[in-house]
Amino acid sequence: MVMAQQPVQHWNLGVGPISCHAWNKDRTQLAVSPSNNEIHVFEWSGGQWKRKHVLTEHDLPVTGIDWAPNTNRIVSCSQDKNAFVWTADGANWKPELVLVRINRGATSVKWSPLENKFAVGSAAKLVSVCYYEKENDWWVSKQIKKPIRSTVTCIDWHPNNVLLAVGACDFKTRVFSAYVKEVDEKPAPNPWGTKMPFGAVMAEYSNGGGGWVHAVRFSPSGCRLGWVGHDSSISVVDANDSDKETITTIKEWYLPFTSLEWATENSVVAAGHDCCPMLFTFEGTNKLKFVSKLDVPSEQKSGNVSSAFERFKTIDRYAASEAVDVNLKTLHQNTVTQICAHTGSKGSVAKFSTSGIDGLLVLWDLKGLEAKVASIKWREMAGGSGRCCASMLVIMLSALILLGAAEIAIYLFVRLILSSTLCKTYCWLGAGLLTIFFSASVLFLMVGVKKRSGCLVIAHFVVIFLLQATSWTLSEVYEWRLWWNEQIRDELRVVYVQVYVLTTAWQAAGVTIAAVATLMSCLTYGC
Amino acid sequence: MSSLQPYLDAVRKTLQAAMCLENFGSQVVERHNKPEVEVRTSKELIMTPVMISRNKQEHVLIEGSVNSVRVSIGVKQSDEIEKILCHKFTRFMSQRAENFIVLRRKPIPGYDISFLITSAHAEQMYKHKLVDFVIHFMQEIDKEINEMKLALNARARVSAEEFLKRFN
Repeated sequence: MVMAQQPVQHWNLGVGPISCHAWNKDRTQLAVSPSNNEIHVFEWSGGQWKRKHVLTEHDLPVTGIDWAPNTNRIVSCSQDKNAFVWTADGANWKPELVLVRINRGATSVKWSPLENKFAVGSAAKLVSVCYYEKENDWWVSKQIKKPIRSTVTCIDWHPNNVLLAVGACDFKTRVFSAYVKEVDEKPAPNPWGTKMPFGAVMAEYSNGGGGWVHAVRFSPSGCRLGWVGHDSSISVVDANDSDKETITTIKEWYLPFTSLEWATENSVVAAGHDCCPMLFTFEGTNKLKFVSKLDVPSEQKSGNVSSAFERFKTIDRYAASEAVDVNLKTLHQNTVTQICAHTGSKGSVAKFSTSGIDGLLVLWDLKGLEAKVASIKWREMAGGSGRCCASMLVIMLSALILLGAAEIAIYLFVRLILSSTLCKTYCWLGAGLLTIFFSASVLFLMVGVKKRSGCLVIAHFVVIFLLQATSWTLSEVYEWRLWWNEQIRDELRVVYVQVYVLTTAWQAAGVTIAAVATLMSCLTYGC
Repeated sequence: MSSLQPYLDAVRKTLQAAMCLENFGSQVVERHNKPEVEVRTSKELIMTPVMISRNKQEHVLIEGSVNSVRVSIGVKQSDEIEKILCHKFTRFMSQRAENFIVLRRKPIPGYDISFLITSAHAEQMYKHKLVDFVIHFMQEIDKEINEMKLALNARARVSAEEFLKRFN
């Protein structure tokens, strides 16, 4: 929908600091809270955001908004201890009060993936899991209290609709079961545990840094959990790991993050007090890496560097020593409050949006940024394990088999049907085929599979090339008519056969490995 | 370069880190939203205070918390005159605290002037400009007091001269 030319687009909605925002299903509508008791619903029409509704049922600042894509309901919570479920009723939004049963302000709210319940985190050191009770026609709640020891700051649902990740001001991130037997099917066992009664602590993590947890997110598959803390850290755990307790944490030069979002299964975007979204990749335990900032300062800034004449004129006119640069170099001029996925499927987010205290709403196009920021490799982010790699492997494998078959056919043709004096032709054909093989491998590497496997492929072809070259040379020498000793010639023949067998075996091994890798990745990620 | 610059740099970096604030409702009192650094009701929400000192008198105390940061400044006072001038100056400022928005009405004991920056301030104003303001203030107050001291001495000299003329 929203115009796609530039990698980064931004709008100032003119409502003041934005504390949180949420998108509807087709991304044509947007709900934001301008750090007060109101929720503004904007609609994209005629190339700009038009305010359609202002929802004013809360009486203290709104702290969380979430828009259920399929049922098209908004849930909001506020420091006034209430949460409302807003249903679109023709032209208006109709609020329904939720019995959250908390006696302190609510801090965050999230619909579950199936949209039949939602969770509200609160300053009462508990999480309310709310669901709709048909008999009484209202939203009721169940509460998870233990062992949270401070304000709950953030929550996130696992894709299985049962597990709930909770980050709190007691420096800990926990995974709870929020299984409500009234509305849920019995959950299947998963890496986080097998038995999941309501309120059970499935995992508890502390990275030891002593920072309030600001945001927590499950990865698209739900196997990984990432969170950011006030100690400027970003941490990830992988439930599939043999040692579930291992937390991978990195802390670097940046200020604390306030929000994070998984772009793919192994890359995370985080943003916060540095006013700039940053990209991280996670490739297994202890391999969490900072990749780059996504905010590239635009070149138009350099246009401000005026000529010496201009400069002295300003000094003269305004009696100012020099124009003070008021702006930060980043697009957001103040803390980024929230990141939301915008376009793309779960597991490969192509665009995401950020909102900031400076009142800006920014839409970042990761694929578009790839061209601008050198260090972002979209396919690399999708990973050597991603789907695109699986399809690449399939193509590669079929190419290998086809080329191998062609080679054998030509060999047989040359050796059996034509006379062996045409061996030279075969050599040339073989050389041509090898070139194709080699360029295919280089292409494979360029398309961006992981570097290591690319190197392996190249090494494989180098070995084939050497073996092939040896066997050609031997065959050439064998064909040489001026032999003084038949015995040596016979020995040469044996060596030649051996080298030839070795070459074939090596090629067969390469094909097998590629086949196995393809099968594995297809099984893991599904083609 | 005077040794003032490293001192100010240290303060600037610390302030930038301490000023990562969020809107945070009280977890103790219903419907309250108070600066945690002032109410001190939950110890997990308060950060370890940082003191940066240039010498015995010039020092800055930065107390952070989840939704507010308190910056207290000790100003150089080498003699009685500077002490009096500083006292008058900070009192003058504190009495007009609401015009300065982030100024605290009363300094923390042991310091001359305190700022209280809450998440609301960080929302209304650019965070980096707030940091600049505090740093600028620290630079200016020294200069201001020095100038006042010079002016005072000059005035004292003139009035003494005028007085002594009578005995000529």
